[in-house]
Amino acid sequence: MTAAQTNRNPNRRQLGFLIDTHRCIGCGTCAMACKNQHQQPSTVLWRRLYDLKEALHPFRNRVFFSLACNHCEHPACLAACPVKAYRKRESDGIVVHTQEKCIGCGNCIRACPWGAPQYNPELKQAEKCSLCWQRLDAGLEPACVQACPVRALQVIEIGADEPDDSLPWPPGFPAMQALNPSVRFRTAELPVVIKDEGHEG
Amino acid sequence: MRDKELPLVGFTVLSQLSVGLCLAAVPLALTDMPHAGIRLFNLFGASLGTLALAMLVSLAHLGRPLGSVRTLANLKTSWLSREIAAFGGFGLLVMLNLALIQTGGAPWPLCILAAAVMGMAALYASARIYATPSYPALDNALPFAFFLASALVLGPAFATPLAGPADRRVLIVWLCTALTGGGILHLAAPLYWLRGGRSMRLTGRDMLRAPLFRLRMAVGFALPLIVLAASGSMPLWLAVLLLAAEGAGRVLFFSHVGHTAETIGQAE
Repeated sequence: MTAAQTNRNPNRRQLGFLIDTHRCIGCGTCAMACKNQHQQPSTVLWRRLYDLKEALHPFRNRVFFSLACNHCEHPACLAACPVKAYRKRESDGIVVHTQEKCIGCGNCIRACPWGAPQYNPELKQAEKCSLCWQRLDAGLEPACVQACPVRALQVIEIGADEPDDSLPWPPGFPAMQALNPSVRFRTAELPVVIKDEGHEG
Repeated sequence: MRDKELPLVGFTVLSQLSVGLCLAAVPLALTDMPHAGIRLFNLFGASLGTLALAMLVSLAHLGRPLGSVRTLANLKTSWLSREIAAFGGFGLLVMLNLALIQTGGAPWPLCILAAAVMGMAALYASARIYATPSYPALDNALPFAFFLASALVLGPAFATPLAGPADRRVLIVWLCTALTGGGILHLAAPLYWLRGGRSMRLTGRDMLRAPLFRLRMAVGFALPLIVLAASGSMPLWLAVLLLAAEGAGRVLFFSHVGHTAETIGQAE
């Protein structure tokens, strides 16, 4: 998938997640690692797992999307916020939410098609995945990427590190071309069916 | 619907009532009836009071209400910033009309029209907040149509007690037309949604199955039309009933419209 095909600005460095749904086993370690790193309240999950339903993959609970914030090229949250509590970092395109500015209006929560910003009832503000920019700046991987036991989650540079077989919006992921989410997916292969000749008929 | 959206039900309905009262002043401004100034003063006074109450109620939906002073910071892209600016401008124009009537005695039609146009602009900005791709059923002109319909129903409903006898006839005819049009709109919307993608279909289905939707259609449109047709008058209790029905409709708006995040992992 080239930058032109996704209508992305090729001159701007953009980090994003690569989700390998072929490797992902749905263990939820990524979501737990995020919780452990950022200590959100129990009702707030920055990273969530979605299993693909049978219409998309014939075997239930076999293919998962591990989704957090997609750090879009044209973030809906940034456009919707009335107090400019969101900014997009020039160096890597990470969309950062500034807690001190947020007034908890919920407009970003309403605007994001993937439900990335969530309301923190204790802080009475919105919050979302920050791609662990503090860890990235320190030369570490985001907590979710580091924790994944099967290396199904990676941080890549969109347009530079994308595998040739990756997709920006596979079936089951709401496609919003205008926002241009910085996330790529490797789709799962169907399992090989082995027939047992002795049990036929 | 989350608890923090209840104040938005109050804000949207009250702000639409405020705009509706101002719109109801337009036909009065076009007449040359005696005491028009007094009636207009009452209408604009009620409009301003309702708007002030709406703004106060809206603060309750903020996690940090004191931060609301900064909400004009993103007029460039945020429809919420624009909504606040538009309602602020509308409030100022209503106050200007009140001041002109108070000092001069006679209304200025251009000023009244300006307030009405600004009120419509505020309704449009308000509707655009909810017309986002994340809510496919509302990513179109429907939010504006719903909000305008509310204003056109509530305005004449509450303006009638404040108006003179001759004005009441005009307002009741207006109200009957608005109720008929509004009823058709609210019945057609779910049927339109049933023909769309997954999120829209689920929205249409949930809306048609909701008991509150059926109650709202009966009490908010059918019953008032029957009362108005039978009596030819607009009792105050009917205005209050219409306000409650609009509130119920807004609860449905916030609670029964599907979000795209609910369709992740599912086929279209």
